[in-house]
Amino acid sequence: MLHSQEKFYSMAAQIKLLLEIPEKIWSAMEASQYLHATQLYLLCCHLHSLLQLDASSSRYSPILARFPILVRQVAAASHFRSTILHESKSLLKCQAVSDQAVAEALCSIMLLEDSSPRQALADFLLARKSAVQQLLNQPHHGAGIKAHVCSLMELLTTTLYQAHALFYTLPEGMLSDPSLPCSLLFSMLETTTSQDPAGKGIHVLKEEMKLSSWFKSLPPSIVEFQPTLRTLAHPISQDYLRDTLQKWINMCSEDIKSGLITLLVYVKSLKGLAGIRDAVWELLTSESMRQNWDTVCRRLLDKSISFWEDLLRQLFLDRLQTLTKEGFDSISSSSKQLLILALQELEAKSSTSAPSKHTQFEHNMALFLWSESPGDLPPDAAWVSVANRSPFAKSGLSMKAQALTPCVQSFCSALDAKLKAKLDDLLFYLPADSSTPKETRGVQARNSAFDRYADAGTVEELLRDHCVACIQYVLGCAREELQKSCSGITVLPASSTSWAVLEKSCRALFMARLCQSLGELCPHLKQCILGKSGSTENGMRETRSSKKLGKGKAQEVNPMQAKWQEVKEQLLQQSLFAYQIWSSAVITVLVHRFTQTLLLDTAGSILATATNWDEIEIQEETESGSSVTSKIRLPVQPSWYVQCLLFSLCQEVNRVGGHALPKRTLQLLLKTCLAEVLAGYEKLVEEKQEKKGSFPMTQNRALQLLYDLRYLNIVLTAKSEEAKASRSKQDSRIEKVTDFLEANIDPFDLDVFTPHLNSGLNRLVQRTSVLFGLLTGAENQYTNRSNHLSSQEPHNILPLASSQIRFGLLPLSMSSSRKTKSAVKTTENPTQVPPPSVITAEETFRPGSLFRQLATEEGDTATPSLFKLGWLSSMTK
Amino acid sequence: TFMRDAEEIASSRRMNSLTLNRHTEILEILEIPQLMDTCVRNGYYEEALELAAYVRRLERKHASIPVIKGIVDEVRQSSQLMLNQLIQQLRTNIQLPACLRVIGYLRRMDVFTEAELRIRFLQARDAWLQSIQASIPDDDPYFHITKTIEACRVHLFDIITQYRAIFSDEEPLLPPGEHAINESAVFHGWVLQKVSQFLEILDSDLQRGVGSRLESLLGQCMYFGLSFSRVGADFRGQLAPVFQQVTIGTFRKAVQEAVDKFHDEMNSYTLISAPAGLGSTIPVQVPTAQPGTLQPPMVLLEFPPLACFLNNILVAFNDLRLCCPVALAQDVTTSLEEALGKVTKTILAFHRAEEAAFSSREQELFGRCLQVLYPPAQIAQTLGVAPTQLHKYGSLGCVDVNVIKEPLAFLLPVREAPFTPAEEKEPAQESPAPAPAPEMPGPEQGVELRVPEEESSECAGDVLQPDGPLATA
Repeated sequence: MLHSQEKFYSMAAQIKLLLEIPEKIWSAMEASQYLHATQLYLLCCHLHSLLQLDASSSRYSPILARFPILVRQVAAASHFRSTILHESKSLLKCQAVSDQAVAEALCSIMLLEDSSPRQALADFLLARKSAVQQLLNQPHHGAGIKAHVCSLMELLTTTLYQAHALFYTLPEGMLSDPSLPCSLLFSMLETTTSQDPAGKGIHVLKEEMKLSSWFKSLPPSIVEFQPTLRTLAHPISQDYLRDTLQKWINMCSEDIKSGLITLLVYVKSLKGLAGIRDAVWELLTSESMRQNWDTVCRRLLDKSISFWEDLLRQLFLDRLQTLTKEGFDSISSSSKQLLILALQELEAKSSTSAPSKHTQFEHNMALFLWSESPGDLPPDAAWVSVANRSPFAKSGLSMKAQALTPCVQSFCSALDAKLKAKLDDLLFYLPADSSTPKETRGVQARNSAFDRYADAGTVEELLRDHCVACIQYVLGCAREELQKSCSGITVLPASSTSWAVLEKSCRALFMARLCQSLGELCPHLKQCILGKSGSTENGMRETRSSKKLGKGKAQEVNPMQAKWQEVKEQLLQQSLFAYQIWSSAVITVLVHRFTQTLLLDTAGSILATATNWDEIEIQEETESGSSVTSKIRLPVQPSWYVQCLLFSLCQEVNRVGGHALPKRTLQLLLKTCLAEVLAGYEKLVEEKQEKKGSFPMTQNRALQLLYDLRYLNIVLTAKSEEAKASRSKQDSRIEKVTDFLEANIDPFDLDVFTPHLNSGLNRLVQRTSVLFGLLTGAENQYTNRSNHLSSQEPHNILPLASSQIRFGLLPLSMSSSRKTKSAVKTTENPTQVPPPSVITAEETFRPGSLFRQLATEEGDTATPSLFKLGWLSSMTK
Repeated sequence: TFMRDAEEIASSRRMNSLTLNRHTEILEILEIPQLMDTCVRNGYYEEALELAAYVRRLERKHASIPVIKGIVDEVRQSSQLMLNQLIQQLRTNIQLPACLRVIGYLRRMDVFTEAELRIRFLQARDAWLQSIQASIPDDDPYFHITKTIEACRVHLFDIITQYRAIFSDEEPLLPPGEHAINESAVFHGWVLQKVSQFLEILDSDLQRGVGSRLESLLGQCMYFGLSFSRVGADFRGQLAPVFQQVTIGTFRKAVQEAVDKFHDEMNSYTLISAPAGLGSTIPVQVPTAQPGTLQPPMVLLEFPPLACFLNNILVAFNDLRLCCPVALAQDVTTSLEEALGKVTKTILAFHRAEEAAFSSREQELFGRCLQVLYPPAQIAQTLGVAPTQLHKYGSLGCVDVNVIKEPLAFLLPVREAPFTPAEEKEPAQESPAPAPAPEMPGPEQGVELRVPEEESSECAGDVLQPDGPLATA
């Protein structure tokens, strides 16, 4: 009886417990104590079996029959399993949970599903993978990308940490580090399932329950209930753990990479990228993340691992590359547009009536140079000395000194501003202070998760390459335009001496100046190419190396410096090429006119270009020994067309800013000009030799031509060393022409004339040394100081007709001419018009020999006109 | 806290006594801007430069102190004022010593590179020169150009001398880089610019017309150019084409006007009124042209339009005579021939229109008019070569008087032969007679001259035909 009563109480207690357990499970669930809930659930299942409430035997269960309420209880309890499983698994997906919680959740799953630790590991990793997926698929908003990437990193890191904490078991004999717990799962499993009666394990039923009176009646199997695992929970082997984790990491990497690529598209600037990178760095460098990371990695994977290096770095670099490329592409295309626009504006000058001042300046540099403008002197001009000028603030005056027109300036500043924006953006990605010594950076690196600035070199390289490519593109556009205008010039027939050719060459000039000054006016271009560190270091090195230039170039050339030099060289070449187009256009036009005049072969045209000759008295010894004074006449001025050619050439050079014209271009201009001029003379010689011309080569003409040629040769011969080589070739050509001309001069005369001719030539060269100084250069300018002007020297060099004869007028009354409406009484000749009211012939006669004569013979009216007679007599023949 | 307070008080007392001790120095520093301003305003540039240098050192050492910053700012403004004053001085009628001083100060201020300094100097002096040029009244072109020549000759010369005294044009010792600024070219460019500007002014003033004073102007210009040869800027070669252009332009205009007028008069001309002229009533006799004299044939008075035309042409000749470049021989001849050709055409047209109404007497008169048409042509061409000294140039190529005379003298009689047998009334222009061409002595430069003459003479020949039988009869 006692037994049965006990049994009854026991039963009752069990039922009571059974009734209470769901509530406890719920509260455990609510407290996220899934392990406890699981234990309770398992206890519940145990109770079911004790009370024979299992579904299989329930129909026959006498208890069930007596307590129908239990049916519902059983039914309700069956839901718990799935609920707990679900909750546990979803807990696994959360990253911000403690190791303990994860371990409990995993325990629950293992207990409920009766799975192995490997299975648990798989569950865990799967859950985390899906968490990654979830993060990647979450809708994001522009600014949230940083947080997104950070949480991804955090998830990955914590997962590894937790994998270590839960699944890793220390090899035998190693002492566990209290700060770095591990194999939490196994110890938990052990405590949960330990059958040790001593009860050191966690008992399912809490103490407070033990206070209830009915607790005493529970059978010991209930009281000391511990869940059991069907299979023994063997610790996971290290190899398996490593392989699984590695696989998982690889898998996640793929997902993350593809996911991040789409994410990073929304990052539009290097600044944004740098922000994300820095956030990741801060996250990974933080104490909690950083402290045991290397140990954990080594234990788990036998190697150190850096998610930045493995995952993000390349992605960031790719994105950076894309951004840089896009940026420079846009700079390239906008520069092209700007170039085309500027060229169109230049061309518009001829069509529209009022060109802008800037365009005018572009067409005439002298106008720009000699017009004072308010921007010439910056407000602090008096304070900043020449050496201290900043490369970024250019005064108008220095622009004028360098012959950089406003059009060129505006193009360059536009380009420079864009480059500056790019550069500034990039600086965010680079270490803020490059001057930090490497040692301290090394120390920092040891403490940080990764070297944030490891890519600095690559990034700068990237910038450099893109920048160079951009400049190449701009250069290419310029070249294209040049070729266009070049062909435009050649298409025009040489005879179109209209200034259309020179107008066209204005485009070439613009580009020549642009290329010439791009390096100078775009300081950021240099910075882009030299890099941030390069610009300062190399600046110093540059000056140093220039100082010891004489010591040979032992110093290795910095590649960046070399690149910059290369770009500069390309710009220079392009500029020279453009200048060459201009110079050939100028020469074509000017020399064409020159040659045309030179080859005109009629007396009138030769007369038209004739100059006044000097008469020189010379003393000669005759054969008898007495000295004879004779006068010789020699040319003292080159023909007008020669002077006109030189003057126009100077004007053209001045129009493009002769003081800043590259020496090479000027030399080339002179050389080509001389060659072309010589070709003209050679043609003349040829024609003469074939006796084609109608006018003979007289001595006088030959003398003048000789003088012209010598003068041209002196003025147009470049004085530099460089030109000497080519001079010899032209010298022989000149000699040929000279020989021909001298052959037309009496040899005795030539002997007498030559010294005088030469001295006159030298004097003239000195006298025009400043006027044609743009061509001849600064030499021999002062030599003529001693050369005093003789007062006797004739001032007029224009030959005038010395006719003293005045033409008489017919005695005509003005009335007849007044009848016509166009009574032109020109103001120039009021004196010559006969007085209006003249009746008799005598009165109209003006004083003058012929009319006086006429007056004397007037009376002889009977005599017929001699002229008439002469005519009549000829008629009769 | 007492100790602390006491310490503070002590330190502040120390500061104050230090300030008191250094009072004068501090005051001096604080008064620098005022002093600087006074110096600049009174032209003590030497002192101002020293002060500025001192302040610059101060700035370098103590740029962070606000008081110093304030002083620097004020001094900076004063230096700017000084700079502007110096440049302003260059814009006035300044003499060489003063120029040297100003440039010396500017050099010491070290605010311009050499090229910039040169540009600045020339800009400023240029401004002054232009202000002088602008003050020349522009009403009378002759007066304007004369005064401009004078101003340029004196002042431009001065500026060039000043420039040369101040700036050295020696080649720099260091080999300049590819894009180094060519400093001497700045000056060359400026002189060239000035010369070009002068030529432009000259041209525009000449276009407006200076009347008969062209020769004196030419002389002045040539003297101007010659005087500039002393500074290496002999630009006389550029003057010649300008004057030639103007002269021929004037002549062409006069001839064109004469032709127009002739045409107008022919339109209103009737033969009826013509014989009333002097020519028919008083037979005028013209003596042979004596050497050195030229006279118009009085016969032309019978035909007033032609006489008037002749007079106009002669007036143009007389104008040309005053300043007659030899170079224009060909152009003058050509334009005259063109004019004569037009006149002949007009006469021919008149002849054809009025033919039906012609009485024999009228025809005779007309013919005579045409006969005498050539004397003016002869005169014209004679004038074209009037500079007889041309022959001294030998065969340099001048319009040979004889060559021109010859065809003219021959032509009329020679022409008679081919035309007399030709059908009557055949318009001559349509059948240019090839016959005379070979007969003509090939003048050296004959091509241009020959064509219009042929035309004119054909016309003459054609019209003369009626006279042919008359004469033979």
